[in-house]
Amino acid sequence: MATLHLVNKPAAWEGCHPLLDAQDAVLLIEDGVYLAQQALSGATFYALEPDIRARGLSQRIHTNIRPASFDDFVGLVEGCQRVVTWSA
Amino acid sequence: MAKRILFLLNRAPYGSSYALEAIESILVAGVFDQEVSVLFTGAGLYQLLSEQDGGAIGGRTVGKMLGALPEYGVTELFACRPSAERLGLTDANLCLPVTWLDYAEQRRLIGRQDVVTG
Repeated sequence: MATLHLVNKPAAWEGCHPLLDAQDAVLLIEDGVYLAQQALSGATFYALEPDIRARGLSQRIHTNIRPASFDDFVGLVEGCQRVVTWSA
Repeated sequence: MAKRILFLLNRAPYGSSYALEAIESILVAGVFDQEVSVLFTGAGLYQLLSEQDGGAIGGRTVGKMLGALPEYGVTELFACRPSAERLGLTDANLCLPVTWLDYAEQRRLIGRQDVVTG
């Protein structure tokens, strides 16, 4: 996977989605997990599971978005060539 | 060995310290001869407006600081064309010459970097 995109706020998605490459991964963290309630496309999507649980969103996550643990987060960072942190 | 660093700036100046802090980081990277490029996108395009006067609110002028980048060896300045169209900005409004990129070109630019930061 080429680039890992971190999205920590719903508004940051506007900057991120036009620059997604099909082989990239997106990890929704903090308030970014609110985005996981919709069907996102254009890359492989993950949402940080502790943030989902904290916000009571466990039953509201869209099927094509994979829950990720903190360990998975580390694995994603190690597995990519570069990380882009999207801010808003 | 120099690293390819892209500063992706998408925040407006003056409302926060993000713009000033990013410029300082860019100047440092330039001084240390890294392969630096800058991409202005979204509200970040407002950093390039030519009419700025930070003194009006007792601060520095971001546009003028950006003007110093070439002296620090930072000449690869890119800007997002779709954002400019959305904000109604053209070359005539900017204080610096930039290379306009569409989304596909921006994706390729990101794909060439070692580090992408804000």
